[in-house]
Amino acid sequence: MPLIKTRGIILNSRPLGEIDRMVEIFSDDLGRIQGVAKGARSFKNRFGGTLEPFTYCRLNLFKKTNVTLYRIESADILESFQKIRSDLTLLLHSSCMIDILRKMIPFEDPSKTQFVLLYKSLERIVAGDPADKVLSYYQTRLLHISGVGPRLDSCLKCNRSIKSRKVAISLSEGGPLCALCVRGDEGNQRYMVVTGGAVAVLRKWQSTDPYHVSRFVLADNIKSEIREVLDKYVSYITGKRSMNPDRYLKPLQGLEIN
Amino acid sequence: MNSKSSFDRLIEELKRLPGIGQKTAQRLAFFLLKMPPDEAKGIAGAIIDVKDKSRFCSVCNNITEEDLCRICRDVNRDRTKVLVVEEPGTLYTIERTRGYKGLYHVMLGALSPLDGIGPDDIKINGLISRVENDGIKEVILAMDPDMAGEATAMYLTRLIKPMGVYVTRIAYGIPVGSDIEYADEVTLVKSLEGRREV
Repeated sequence: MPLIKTRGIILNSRPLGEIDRMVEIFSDDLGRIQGVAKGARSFKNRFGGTLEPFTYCRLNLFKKTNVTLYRIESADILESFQKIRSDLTLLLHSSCMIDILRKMIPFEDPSKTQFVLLYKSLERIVAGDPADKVLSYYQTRLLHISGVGPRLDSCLKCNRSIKSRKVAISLSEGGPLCALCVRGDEGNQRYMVVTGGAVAVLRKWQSTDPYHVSRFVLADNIKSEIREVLDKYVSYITGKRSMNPDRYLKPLQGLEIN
Repeated sequence: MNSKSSFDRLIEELKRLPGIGQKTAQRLAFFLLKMPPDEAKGIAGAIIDVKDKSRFCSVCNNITEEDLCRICRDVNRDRTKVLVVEEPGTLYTIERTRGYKGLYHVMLGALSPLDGIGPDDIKINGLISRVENDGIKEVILAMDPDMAGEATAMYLTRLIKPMGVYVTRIAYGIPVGSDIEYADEVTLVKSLEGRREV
């Protein structure tokens, strides 16, 4: 049973048995893995806050052959992303990022690009970039680098470039259709009609670095269109409804802390 | 038909309890076997009674056998303070300290966005109606110091504070008897945030 050294972001942590924790980790070289932290819930545990979601840590693991679960021997924090845990809005948007990652990425399928994307996106949220914008960017980029993102450069049917004001996006076909190709079929439920501006932003985000996301100034209608397209697209791809921060934030709207 | 003996069945049933494996279940089964019949029946009766009679208090969600729990019925308790906990087990732990004389509210869970647990899945409405109607002046949040606990505490603060009620959280940080040197970053930040004037 050799010692495995890795670095990873904690995705989730839940109680297991009396005093243990089952921890889900997104490691840069092992991919998405699960491990058991023995005694992690006892008062004098050696892990402290290291295994809380969003922390980026250095981990020492053990794994028996033919067993999928790792045993977490020790963990040291490299970056705590503490700000996320102390702001409800940041916490909910970051949770959405982890939610889509868990739905899309299978266990033990490592991808350095996906790891760096998550790390940099969490960094941008902590740095103060608008959390809703970073979340939409993260969804777009994750879909793209995972190879399941919509093809947005031209019409899926006639291959003409998309220049019209309104664009019909087909979830099942994975991209936009130009006005000519969709003529006479505009009311079809299979299509989502969005502005050309929203498609242009999505197309740009597919190849943008997270550090440049804050430069995109988006009108409210574009923001909500992008969010709707991404939510529907992710749900279509994963077959599961994606988490929505509004479920938590809506009841708090209009309430001001004195 | 090869049916199990009652002794084997008892071991199997005991194994269903948290933290009980094959060895412990076997040891407990032998212990119960050696017990005087009255004592063994007493244990069996207590298990049946607790399942038949126990329910949640209609005000605070603590475990009780009547409509109101003994804490909600106690007229000597400070009715202006409510301590909010996730589970009834935490209430019992705090009661053992004998350091708190106010009322409680048990949420029966915590908000956990990563597990899909939202505001409608826990007992928030009861707490809000108590704050609005029962003359509560202080709400003390005693959630677990994990992500679900943090999310619940932040959510409740944003919901209750605008009502003009004093909202506080119990202190988190370095455990008594430990070395600061060995504390991790998250714990240290929490203890610094919760520092107080001396």
